[in-house]
Amino acid sequence: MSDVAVELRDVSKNYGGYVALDRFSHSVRKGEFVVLLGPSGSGKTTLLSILGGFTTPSTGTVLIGDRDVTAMLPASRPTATVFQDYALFPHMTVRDNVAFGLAMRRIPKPHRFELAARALAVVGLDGFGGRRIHQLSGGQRQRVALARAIVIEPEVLLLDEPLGALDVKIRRQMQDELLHLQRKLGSTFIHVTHDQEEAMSIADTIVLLNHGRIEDVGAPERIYQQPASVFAASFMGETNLFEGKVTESRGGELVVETPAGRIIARGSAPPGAKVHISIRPENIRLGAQTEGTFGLGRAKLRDVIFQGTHRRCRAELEGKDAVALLLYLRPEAGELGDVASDLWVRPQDIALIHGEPA
Amino acid sequence: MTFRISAIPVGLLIAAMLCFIYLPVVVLILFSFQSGDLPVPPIDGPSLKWYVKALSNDRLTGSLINSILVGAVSSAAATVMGFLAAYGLFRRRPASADAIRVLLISPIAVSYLIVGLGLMIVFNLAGIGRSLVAVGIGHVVINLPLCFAIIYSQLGDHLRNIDNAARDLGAGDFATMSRIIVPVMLPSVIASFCLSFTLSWDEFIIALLLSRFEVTLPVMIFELMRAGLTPEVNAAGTIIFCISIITAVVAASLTILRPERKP
Amino acid sequence: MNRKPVDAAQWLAWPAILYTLAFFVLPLAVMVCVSFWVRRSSGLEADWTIDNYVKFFSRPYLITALLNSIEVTLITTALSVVLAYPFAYVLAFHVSPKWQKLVLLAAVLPFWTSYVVRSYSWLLVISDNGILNSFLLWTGLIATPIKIAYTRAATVLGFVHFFVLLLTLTLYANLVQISPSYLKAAEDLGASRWSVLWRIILPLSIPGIAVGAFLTFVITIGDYITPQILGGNTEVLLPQAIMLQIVRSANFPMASMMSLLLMLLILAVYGLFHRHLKMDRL
Repeated sequence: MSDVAVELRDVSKNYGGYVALDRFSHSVRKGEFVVLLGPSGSGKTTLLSILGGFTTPSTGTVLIGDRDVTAMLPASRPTATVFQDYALFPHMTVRDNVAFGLAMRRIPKPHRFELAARALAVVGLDGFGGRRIHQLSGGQRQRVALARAIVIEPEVLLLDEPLGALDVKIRRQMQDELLHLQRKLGSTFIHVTHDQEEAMSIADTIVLLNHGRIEDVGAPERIYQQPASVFAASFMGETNLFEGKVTESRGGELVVETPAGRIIARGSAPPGAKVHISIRPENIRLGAQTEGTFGLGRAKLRDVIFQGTHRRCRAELEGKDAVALLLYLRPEAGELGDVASDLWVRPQDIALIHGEPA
Repeated sequence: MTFRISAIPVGLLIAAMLCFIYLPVVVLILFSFQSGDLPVPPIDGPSLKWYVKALSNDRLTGSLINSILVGAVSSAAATVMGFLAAYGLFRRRPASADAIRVLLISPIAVSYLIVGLGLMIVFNLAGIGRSLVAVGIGHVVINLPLCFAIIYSQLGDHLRNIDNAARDLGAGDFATMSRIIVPVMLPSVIASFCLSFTLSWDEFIIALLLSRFEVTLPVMIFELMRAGLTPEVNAAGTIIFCISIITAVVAASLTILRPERKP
Repeated sequence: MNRKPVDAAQWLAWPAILYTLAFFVLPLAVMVCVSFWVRRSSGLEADWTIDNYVKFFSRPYLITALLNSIEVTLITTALSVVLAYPFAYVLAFHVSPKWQKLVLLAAVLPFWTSYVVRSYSWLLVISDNGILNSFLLWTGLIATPIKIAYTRAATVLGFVHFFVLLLTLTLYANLVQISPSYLKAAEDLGASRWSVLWRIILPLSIPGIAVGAFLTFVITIGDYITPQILGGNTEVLLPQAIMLQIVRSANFPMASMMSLLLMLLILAVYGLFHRHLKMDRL
């Protein structure tokens, strides 16, 4: 028995001339919480639909638990899907909804209802069995949809933007609960979202998609700090991006000429190569440089806006008028008028991105 | 709306329109109680003799039963075929889906007279006699497009997810359709059936062309009229009116009580 | 290529498709063929001639029937729309919601008298000794009964009564779904009631009016029973002429030809209006 829960090999999906997925390949380990992240049209929903069996791929193979399920109907697959609009059966009670999958497996009534009640308790809806769907709030419906899926103990749970319709507060709460649920059950979760903050909060691994292709794969922190592409860098959050050319390469460090000046980044590339540099706004600090940090130069700060956790502002580097940096300053940084300040950044916060943008 | 026209002109317009709409109905009911021989003024004292005459007219009561039978069977057939077609096209959209939809809806654009005439000629040429079954066949032709259109219009993305959810949880084609889709779509299925029944019940020209000795109610009324304009027709008409209203009320109250039923 | 999983859904539409082909398309095709045949005393002969077409256009009384039908239908459609629209408009915008439902219910109730019965009832109302004449005579407004029964006016009256009912419902449904935001915005920008009606509501309801008018046209032009009961023999409309061919001489070829003419007329009108009629949104 291998460690692989799901494997996709060269999976593509075309609709006429439109390419929704382009030779997608990836492996998911058992017990992993994977998030498929990307903007609309990136192919993430198509991918989930293929995993669930609702769409047949144009080419490629899908394996779940080492079995080739590419042509298998949803009913036969060891997956369960939580749909974006929950898709609860409106004419049935909560209990009958949750027990439906068990009914299809011919499990006798008393046992069915017992399992359903347990699943409801796990999602925090103890005693809700007799309620009707229209009586429930959005968050409660979400949990019923979850209970209905987990009660049949699928090998892989597929979630299609399940938290999209919820208010922000409830969404955060549900993110936590989803994570706890997954750890408790130990099953593999594949979760689709366009919200990068949500992805970072819950994922073990993020698969970032754009135009049907993988932009980046990895742990949330790694993708955020060291994104593999320009798209990945800007999708994961606001960042300062500079196009540059490598002028020197010396032992693991590169000297890159950018519109913002000379920047030294860690990595390797041949001299003359075109690269991008990404520096997150929260990593640019004010004040005198200290040992081991990298100075970006002096800048005047403008348009300071208080945003709760930080102050957002623009900084124009002296001598480089075309370049405006985005900064997230600590709230206690206080009012800063036309006084110029020194900007610096730690070397590990300078991310090098190879190649051209997509 | 903050800019409503004041109540008086509105009320007058509504009253005038309702008077116009109800005029023939009032005359119908009023003169069914005529004790004289003609359904026109002056109205002599109320009498039920025409009701007695109508109800003891075996052919009339027979035609009532015929109408119910033809209506029920043809509506059931139209609803079932319409539902299956709508669901089938919704689940799997073949390349020819648009052409099929146009085909199934096309009878709506054709006059009932032409539908009836076409069937009559075909049956005649094929040596098939006219009968209530022929009338039923004709009624399915005119009602199938409506059932299909009504149900198809209610099949949306939300239903697609419910359908997928049922299959995801292990339900096969039949289980999905019978346990999930039909119950969820029941309001539009029932509405299609009721609309078809109403149209069949009231339909005249196809019934006239395709029936022979056994006729439906509208054809029977026409026969009565040709025999002479007497209050018996009024009585028959009023009876039909009352039956229709009672049926509508019963159907409406059933739909209101439905959600409380256990699944 | 991956094999697609088998799904029974593809067979589900076949009963409806086969039924429509057998009992709708086939009869129409047969009628087209039969229109080129001839009915002789010996029986139905498959002569394949355009005799019937020639005959139709050379018989003045048949052409008159066609023209009468078109006239009556146009008058009916115009009158019905003109009467139903204000009623629907007032109901949709100037009556409180609970009254709306009540009035609609009241307006719909007469639908439940049979169509044949309703035409008969109108005959009673307008006949020489009917309630209308009796009332007018009683008030002294007229000296002798007005002849309405068995005239074109009677036919139009019977039609308009039905279609005012139908159009009020469809126009109301159409008006009610106009987003109240449009009206509030217009009001906010200073429009009077009349401006709102003329510049916003009316233009937005044109598709609904077009559909209603089209429906009225199609149903009216093919209707046999109303002109037969109310119109009498002073004027013959196309459906009555068709029925005469059947009843008098079982002349299927002629009847088929005239039916095709009727259908072509309907298709022509559909062609004129199809931009406004989104049949695929049914």
